Parts: sequence; C-alpha cells; structure tokens
Amino acid sequence: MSLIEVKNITKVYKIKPSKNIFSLNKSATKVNAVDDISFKINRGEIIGYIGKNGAGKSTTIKILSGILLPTSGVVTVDGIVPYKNRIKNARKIGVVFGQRSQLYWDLPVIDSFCFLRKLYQVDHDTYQQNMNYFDEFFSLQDLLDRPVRKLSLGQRMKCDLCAALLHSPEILYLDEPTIGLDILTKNNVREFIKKINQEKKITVMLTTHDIEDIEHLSSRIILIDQGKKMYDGPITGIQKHLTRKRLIKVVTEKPFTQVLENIEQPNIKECHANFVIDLDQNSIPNVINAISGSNVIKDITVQEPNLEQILFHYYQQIEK
Amino acid sequence: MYYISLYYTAFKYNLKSLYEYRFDFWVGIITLMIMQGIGLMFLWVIYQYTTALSGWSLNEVVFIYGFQQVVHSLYITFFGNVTGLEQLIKHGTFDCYLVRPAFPLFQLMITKLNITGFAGLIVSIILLVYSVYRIGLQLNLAKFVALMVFLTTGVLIYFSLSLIVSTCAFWLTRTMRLQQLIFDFSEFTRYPIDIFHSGLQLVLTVVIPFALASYYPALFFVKEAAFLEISLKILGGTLLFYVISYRFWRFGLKYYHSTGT
Amino acid sequence: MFGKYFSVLEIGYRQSVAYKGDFIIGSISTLFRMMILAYIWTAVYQNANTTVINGRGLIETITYIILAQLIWSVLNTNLEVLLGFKIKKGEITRDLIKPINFPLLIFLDNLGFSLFILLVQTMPAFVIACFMFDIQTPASILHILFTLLSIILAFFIYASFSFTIGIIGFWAQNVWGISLLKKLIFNTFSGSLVPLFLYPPMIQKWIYLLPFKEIINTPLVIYLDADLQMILSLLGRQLFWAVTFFILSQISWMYLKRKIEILGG
Repeated sequence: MSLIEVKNITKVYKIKPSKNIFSLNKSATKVNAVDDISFKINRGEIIGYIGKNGAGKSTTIKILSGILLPTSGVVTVDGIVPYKNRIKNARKIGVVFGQRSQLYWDLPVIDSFCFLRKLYQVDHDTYQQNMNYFDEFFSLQDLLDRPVRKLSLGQRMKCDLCAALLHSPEILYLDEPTIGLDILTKNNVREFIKKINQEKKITVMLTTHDIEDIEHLSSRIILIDQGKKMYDGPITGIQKHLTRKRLIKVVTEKPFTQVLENIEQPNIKECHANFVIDLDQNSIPNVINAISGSNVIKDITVQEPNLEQILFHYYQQIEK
Repeated sequence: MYYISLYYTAFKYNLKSLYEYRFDFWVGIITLMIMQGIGLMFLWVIYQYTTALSGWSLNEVVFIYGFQQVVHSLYITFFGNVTGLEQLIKHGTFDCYLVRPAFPLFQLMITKLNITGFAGLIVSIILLVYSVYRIGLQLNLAKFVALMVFLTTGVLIYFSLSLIVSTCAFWLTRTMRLQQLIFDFSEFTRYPIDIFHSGLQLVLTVVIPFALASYYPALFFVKEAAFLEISLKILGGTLLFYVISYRFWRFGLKYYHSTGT
Repeated sequence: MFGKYFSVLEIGYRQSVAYKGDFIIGSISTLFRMMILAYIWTAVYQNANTTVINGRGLIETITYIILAQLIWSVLNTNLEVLLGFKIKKGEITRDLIKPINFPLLIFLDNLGFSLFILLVQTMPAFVIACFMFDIQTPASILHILFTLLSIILAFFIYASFSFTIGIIGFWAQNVWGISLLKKLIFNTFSGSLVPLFLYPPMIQKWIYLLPFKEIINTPLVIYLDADLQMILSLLGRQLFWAVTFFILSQISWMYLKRKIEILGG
C-alpha cells in the first residue's frame, strides 16, 4: 500500500468580487485551486511537486499536512485522514514553509529545539541521536548558541530543516526550501535532503521553482497547472524537453525581420528578438550565422531556459 | 500533564526572550509607575471634595482600580498573544502551528510573554495589596481563595472578550482597532460603575461584561454583598462568555480549515 | 510662494484619510474619556452636596472637561515621534535638500494632521457629548474668537515644545520614553485630566507657576468667564510662552542641523 494516497481531491475557493459589504453584487466567483488531482506516493520516494505560481502547489501541501480541508476527494497519509485527525497526522510529518521560520526569533537555536522536543514529546535518546546526526552534516554546534535573528538565511534554513526533523517524522513536506539561498547552501541543503531520504527512509515532497532542486533530488515529478495534474512520472519523461533547449536573446542594429527555420516562439520587437531553439534540430553557430548574414548583432545572450519557461513550453506542447 | 509541562517550557523560554529587552522592561516599569501614580492622584483630588462616591470611599475605589489593573495585567501577560492572531495569519506563521501536534489556541497563547503586561503586573499587585491593607480587609483562607477565584474569572472574562474579537481575524484583515474599541470599555470599570448612566451599567454588566472582572468582586470584598448572588453572577457570566468565545474560535478555525487565507 | 507649504499641509491631511477606520475608533475613545470624567465629577458634586466647588458650578466643570478633551485630542499629536522617525530613517537629509524650511515643514505636516483629527475624530465625539451633558454656551461671539485665538497660540506652544523634545529625544536616543513622559506631564498639569481649578488650592498655586497650563487651561478660562482686560493679559502671557518655546525650538534646531551637517545624517 502506498504511504500517501490522494484520490480526486478538489479545492474550490470562493473569491468575493469586492471587499465592500454594501456592494450589491454578492455573487462570488469560484476558483478551483486544486482540480480533481489523484496520485500515490510510496514510502521512501522524493517527489518534486512543480507548477507556476498559483498553480495549486501550496494548497495541495496544506491539504496533505492537515491545514486545509478539501472540497471533495479523499486523502490518506499512512492510513490517516490528515484534516480529520490533524494532531495524529502532525506527529508523523515535518513541514518547512520556505520563507517563515518556526524558531524563537530572539533566543538561541537550541532553545527552540528544546521547546519543540517538549512539544513533540521526543524522548531523550532519539533527541540526542537526531542532534548528533544533524550536527555531523551541518556542524550545528557553531549555530546552536546564536540567537535566530543573528543567523543568515541559509543558516536559518538549515536549523528550520533540523527543527522539522527532530521528532523523526516519516514524511517531510518542503515548500520552496531553497528559495533565496546562495549556491553553496543550496547544494548543502539538497545533499542533506538526499541523505535523510536514503538513510532514514523519510519520504519527501517538495515544491520548488528551482530546476536544479528537481534534477538533484527527485526521480519523479508531479507537474500541475491551474489546479490540474499535467504530468506525473520520471523526470526523464520531460527532461528531453528541458536540457536540449536554449533561449537566445539578440539585439541587432537594424530591425529584426528574418524568418529562421526550426525556431519555436520567436518574440520580436524591432531590434530585440527572443527565441528558443532546440539543439537537436539547430545549433547556436548556425543561428548566429543566419542572423549576421543580413544584420549586425550588437549583443547576444544564450541561456538555459529556467523552469518557468520550460514549463511554459511543455504546457504548449501538451495542449497541441 | 503534557500541556502543563509544555506551558512551563514555553514560559521559561519566553521569559528568557524578555531578558533581551530588559531595558524596555525598566522603562515600562517606570512609566507604568508614573501612570498609576497619576491615576491615584486623580482619585485623591476627587476625594478632596467628598468622602464617598455613590457610597464608595477613596480606599475602596483604589481597591476596584487595583483589582482591575491586576486582572488586566494578568490578561496581557498570559493571554495577550491572542490579539496577535491577525499578524500570525498575515505572515503565515499560523500554518506552522497547525502542523504541530498541539491545540492551536494553546500554541497561540504561549507565543511570547508581553513585556508591558509583566511590568504592569508588578506595579498593580503592589497597588492591590496596598488597598487591601488600607481598607483593613481581613483575608482569611476563604476570602483569599475567593480573591484568587475572582481574579481568575476576571482574567477569563478579558480573555474571552479578546478571543471573540481576535477570532474575527479569520475573516477580517485587521482586528487591532476593534480590540482597542472593546477594551476602551474596560476603562469605565476602574471606577464604581454606579456613577455612570444606568444604560452604560447594563452594557458593562451584560454586553461587554468588564464589570464582572472588577466592580462585582469589589462589591463582595468591600461592600460585603451576598457571596452567593455575586459569585453566581460572576461565575455564570464568565462561563457563558468563555463558552461563547471558545465556540466562536472553533467555528473560526473550521472556517480557516476550509478556506485558508 | 506659499503653494508648496500648502501642499505639505494637504499631504498630511490626505495621508490621514487613508486610516479613517482608526479615526472612528479614536472618536469613540475620545467620547468615552469625556464621559468617564464628566460622570465622575457629576458624582462628586452630588456626593459633596454642593453646587459650587472652588467657585465653579457643575456645568462649568463639565464644559471645561469636554472642551479640554476636545483641545487635547487635537494638540496631542506625535510631532516628536515623527521627527525622531525622520532622523532615524535618514529622511531628514532628503527633506533638508528640499527648498523648504524644515521646522515649518514638520509644523505644517502636524497641523494638517491635527485639522483632520479635529474634523473626523473629535468633532463627532464633541457633538454627541453635547447631547449627553449640559454645556455652558459662550458669553459672546468675542469670547469664541478669543478662545480660538488662544487655541492657535496653544497649538503653537505645544508644537514648539514637542519639536524641542524630539531633538532632546534624538540626543538621548530614546524618543519613545521621553515622549511618553512629556504626555504624562502635560496630561496632569495642563488641565486635560483634572480641571486646574479643581486641584486643591495649595497645589493649584504651584501648577499655575508652570507653563503647561497655557495649552488647555488658558483657552478654557477665556471661554468660561474672563472679562476683556483679563483676556488680554492671558493672551499676552500665552504669547510670552509661545515666543520663549519658539526660541528654544530654534536653538535646538540649529544644534541638530549642525550635528547632521557634521555627521551627514
């Protein structure tokens, strides 16, 4: 049996047209934040849960962690319905909301840990074991005695991660865990997530905008858009769409008028042109040659498309 | 037992947090002492021209005043965080509480210790003890227990009213002003309410019953009003408002569970 | 020439409109304070079994109390907190660049705020209070005009004083504490909490020596019963304090300006 089972959940939000209580038009528009989503997650998986802003990622995480009630559908997490049995579910899960900390702002980190230890009723041995385990990886000792407000964002994220893991949860939900971190810290955090997944068999579900998070961590991704599940499967399934594309931005001297072959989605405004090429069908030197044949290139940048742009292309392809 | 030990732990760390702001603590104590001093001077000036206000002597009014201040400070110290719900919801911290295995209201209560409440507590306890001494109130065991009980019910009244307003944060973005409006009523109950218009007296007893937290206990201790009648009024009122506020809180929480922010 | 100053006044007014909900509550708070004080003194007159205390009847006392709250709620703005805020956030350097007299800028900002408070917060409370309690009508149009003049002088005195306090607060690095202390002192000795004539005569003697009475007691004494000669002498005294505090505020302003020019804000 799967650890997490999500069956046809739908979450409808009513959005009131105006905040004015006196407004006559009381009819609220309904928005399906999550629309008939089903999936199963097995013990020990790392799932990358991706989608645009407002696609319904956070709503799903909130339903899974027991904060929100779905409008319809059923969720079971290890046999428990989280929103009906919130407290029992809470003991089995750890949650990190990327940009908010659950640590005491003015106190040394260790105090927050002690408090959470009481709150989750973690026994002494487990606590010690876990602390040693975290310390080995993050060298927490140096941080523990410092007040949270004096930690850098990266240090705080590390501490928040450990805080969410103190009670040895079976499942870890991470809502944008690497947002705003520098590259070194990002890697560090990713390695840590990977390690606890492998060694402690913790099931991890993370939402992110960072394509590298997904590439490093999860073999399986679930992609949603406007509340609907668009893709569920191994990352390799859409990876070919991902890694062979390049976004080229060109600034030319004369207005850009050429029609290039094998180009998706050209976006031209006079002397500025943005387009995506597929390296399997085209190459960068070819494109440059083609342009400079009849125009002068003043500036050119080649980028690997970021997740948002890739998803944008991916959606367009499935729609076709 | 779990909640008691959790409360103790949180209290310990919150106290430690306060230590970070010890300068503010002393500034708070000094200003509160001056403010209480001015409050007392005001009462003293009034009693230059009369020996009693609706039958209440100066020291008896100081008792009401002190009792109200102790209740208010206790409320601020232990339950003042309830008013912070709007901020917690706004910043999303409330979601963190909901993924932990403890009651959200309990976690809300132990968010922090309020510094002005704590400073006010010290000053107002001195005031109350002083007035008890000046009235010559004989506190035998029974009366002492009654004092503690009525202080507790007083704090519960303040807590309930505050919880009702705070819970509105599930629907409204700002509740602080409403909170202030409700608590402006408590300023009346520093004085014997007999001097106010009878309609206002009714409001302070039944609708926004702050009088149950200071005036009615004083009736019992100072005026030796019948214990049974007074305690029935106070306990009944407290229970009623507590149940209403808690129901409303549960209702608000359920609403939050079904809509989020 | 005065257009730019007028626009500052207008902005101070407009910024306040954004918080109209706050002012409704503020209005109710003001009304409550009027009620508490009026009821308490009514009870004192009743219990003392007298119609006159220290030469004043109940109606005069209640008129004094309600008008005192009216004036106090208009005067009682946070000029020094605003000033402290501007210094702390470095906004003051930006304001110093503008072709505008900085103390005047703060003063007008404050005036705009006060006018708004008067209009939306204090007036409604005052009107309701007039229905609830008997209030003495002014003796003549002239009394109203002299009272208004006196309130304007009071506003000027209080603003100059606050400005000086703001700079002292900057120097002492704790505007909040000093500001609170200032409020408490004014509250006690200006007549806003207790009408000055109701203090025991022994204490009155000392309070009348202090300048704090000028902002509330003086306008109200003019309103209640002063004859022309007395009014002129009262206004003259107010003018003296206004000039004194203005000079004080200018001296402290010069001190601050030099500090900022040296430290660069």
